[in-house]
Amino acid sequence: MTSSRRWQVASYSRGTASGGCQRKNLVDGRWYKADTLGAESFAEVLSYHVNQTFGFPSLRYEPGIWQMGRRTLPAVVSHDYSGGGNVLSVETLIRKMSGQLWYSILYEKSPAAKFEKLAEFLASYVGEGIRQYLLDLFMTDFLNGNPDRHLSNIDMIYRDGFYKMAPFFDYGLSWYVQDDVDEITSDNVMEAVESISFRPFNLQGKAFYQFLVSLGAVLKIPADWEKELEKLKMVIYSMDGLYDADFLASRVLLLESRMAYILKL
Amino acid sequence: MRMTLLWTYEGEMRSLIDYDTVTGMVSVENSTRARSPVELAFGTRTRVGPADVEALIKSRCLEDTRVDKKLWIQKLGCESDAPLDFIKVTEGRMAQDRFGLKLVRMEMEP
Repeated sequence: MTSSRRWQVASYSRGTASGGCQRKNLVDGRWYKADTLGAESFAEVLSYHVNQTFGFPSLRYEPGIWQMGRRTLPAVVSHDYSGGGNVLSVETLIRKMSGQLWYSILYEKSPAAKFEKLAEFLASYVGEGIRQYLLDLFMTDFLNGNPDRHLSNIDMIYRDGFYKMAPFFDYGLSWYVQDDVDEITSDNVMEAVESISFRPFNLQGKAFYQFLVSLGAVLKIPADWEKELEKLKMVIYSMDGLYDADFLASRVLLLESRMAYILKL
Repeated sequence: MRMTLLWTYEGEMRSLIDYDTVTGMVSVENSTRARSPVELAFGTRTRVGPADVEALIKSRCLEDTRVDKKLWIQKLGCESDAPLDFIKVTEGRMAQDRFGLKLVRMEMEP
């Protein structure tokens, strides 16, 4: 990987955000986030490329380095998508604006009813397109194996009385970066692939995909798939200076296995 | 302890919150200048209790799990990592939005 694609990040900054546990700073219209639990930056970068490959535009993440004196951490850089507006999580919006509906959405046991209540509530702010937005968003979570799509990880932007949905973001726990699969082999990789439980519906593995399809979600496999897969592998190898070789090799195996699993669905 | 908090949007007052931690009494006065209730401290909610005020204060601080929380506390010069000490310094401002929460009055019990 060339050094020109990496960003030197100062650890001192005027701005930060309240949510999450990662180090994060806003500097000159760019958000910098450093790895905290494992390899979140790796997951963000790979997920962005996977989303692009499958035709789901999402927030662009580029690999970077967070510098704290002599110590450095892998980091990720993205632009500030608020455009000068106010970023509100869907959870905050529901709590502030919906009254009892909040409990109704939170404790709804049927995944389909939960989805419809959520879509109906958000449609009153951003219009009917929200249904497709949510289906696409959840499909990207399935593609990348993202277990962390709680309602604080779906954002809206509010400005001067108007609302719009934020670009798809926050895939930092995708690609099994938190799993104890230090040594992923061809023997245990499918177990890891099928094991993910997807929020906010708590549906596991294939059941989540079937649920999304039942609601009308569509996943189109790109033409010339083999070539696209090779490009995604190159994205992994491009992070060679940030993560060790064994980690990257295990993620290539996971990428191949997860994609093979998805193609068979 | 009795306190008054000012919830702002783009620097303008949107909600004035009086909170008595002993009796648990909360009173909220909302500005009519908001273009949407989302600009108000508690949105459309009409019943607000102590837990809501505490949650509002905490929502304008770094989460307890934040890995560099101590560093920020030190850098900002906060007296402690208590939420009130944090917002005394930051006035509840965060980089992701233009809301704020200012502590304008705090009276201890005699």
